[in-house]
Amino acid sequence: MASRRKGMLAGLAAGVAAIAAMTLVGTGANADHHGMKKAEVGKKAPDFTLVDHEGNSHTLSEYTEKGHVVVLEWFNAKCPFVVRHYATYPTMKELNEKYSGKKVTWLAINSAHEGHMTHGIDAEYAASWGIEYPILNDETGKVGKMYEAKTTPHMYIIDTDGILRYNGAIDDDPRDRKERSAKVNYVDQALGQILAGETVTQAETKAYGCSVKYAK
Amino acid sequence: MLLVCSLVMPLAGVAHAQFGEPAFGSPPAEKTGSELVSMSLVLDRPVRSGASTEVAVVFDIEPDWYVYWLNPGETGLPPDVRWELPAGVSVSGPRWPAPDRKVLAGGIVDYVHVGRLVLFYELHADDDATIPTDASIKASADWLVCKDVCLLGNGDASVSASVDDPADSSAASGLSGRFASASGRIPLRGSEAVRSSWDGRTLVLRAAGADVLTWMPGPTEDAVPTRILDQGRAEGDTIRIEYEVGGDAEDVWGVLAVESEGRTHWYELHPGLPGER
Repeated sequence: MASRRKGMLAGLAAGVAAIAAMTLVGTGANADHHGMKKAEVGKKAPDFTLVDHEGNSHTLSEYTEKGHVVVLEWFNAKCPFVVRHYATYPTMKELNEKYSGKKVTWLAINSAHEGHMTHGIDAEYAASWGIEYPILNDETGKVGKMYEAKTTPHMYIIDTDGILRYNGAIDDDPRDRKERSAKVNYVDQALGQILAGETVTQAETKAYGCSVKYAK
Repeated sequence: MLLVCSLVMPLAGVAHAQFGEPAFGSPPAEKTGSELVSMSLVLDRPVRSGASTEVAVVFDIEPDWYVYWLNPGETGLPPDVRWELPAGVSVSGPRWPAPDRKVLAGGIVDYVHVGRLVLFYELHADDDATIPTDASIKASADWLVCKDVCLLGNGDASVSASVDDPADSSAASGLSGRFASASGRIPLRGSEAVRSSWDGRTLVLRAAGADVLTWMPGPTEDAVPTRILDQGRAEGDTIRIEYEVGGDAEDVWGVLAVESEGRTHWYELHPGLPGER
């Protein structure tokens, strides 16, 4: 009697363990929100590989490991705040040009899901806006969620040690009320400080823009 | 030959101009951000020296689109109103109706208004202000209006400072009567129905008998909820919201929506900072 009960208990325990194991594996996809490493200023930025609008693959660590500071720009060609920084002011392109000889790599990322109207149009806008840096396709939203990217634009800067040094807005003027020269461009400021080996004085600001168009 | 060509081509041009694009098969022109919201002003009483009157800025929003609350949440931008007033007249406010919490794909939390947003302001005229009979009150605004894309828009509206609306039967109740739905969403302050306390850096709010509680924090730079997606809405009579509070924080405040027996009431709360005396 006792040994049969032991056997039953052992079987039950094994069953529970198996279910637990399956549950852990099963929540792998959901672990993005609960278990996967999230981007935090001062900590190592999550590595990723994405394909750009010309079909080329890019991995974050390939740039940092060869001594480049990397700027990530969450992008949506139809968002008025992105349009402002491409068509009204050449904010992004000029910043990219300013730092191009200084071992800074600029990567735009579009996390719009496949059904959204702003998915799949990056090549068209790269051409009409004369964008020379890659626009990465993050249609599953996986990278956006690792970085908790909320808006377009949403800016991040990663240093050559792979540490996240800036997270936030492109500048301090969401309503475009200031003259361009009066705006504080947080990314320009942070890049200057990082390249000079200094602390980033405004490392976290509230990003402004349209919401990133994640899949449901 | 040349003569014929030169005769034919202009005619063809005229014909094209007359008929233009096919009348069927082409999609209707999409509305701009400025067209998706229509803005109007409603004055409660004529502006008189030494007196105050209420003025409502009304935003009528295209169905399925939305504008943002004074704290838009993690994305978006609230409408911004600017005034042009006669000399000696000033404006205070607005009182904002409570928004709806909107969770977008990816767990983005915003606070929005749909249908109609009414902002209630007060106009004050100095004792010695002279209000000409042809004086007007003008407001202009810019906004962000969204559905699955976002569009920037702007508009303006004006109203005579002196004309009373004789047809306004709700004059006795003022604009609150005329805009009862919006007015009903102005959060109540100082109500005993909600209790607040701090448990470390967790804000604890209790409303007896509630079925669902939704916390919509005011826009404060240095005091932010850290897990608003998971914690901003709770079933039952208690809600717990963890905060990160920096050295420059001056206040924590917000609007609590209390759903009970199929009805919702809104309360504006100022629970102070954690660790306060």
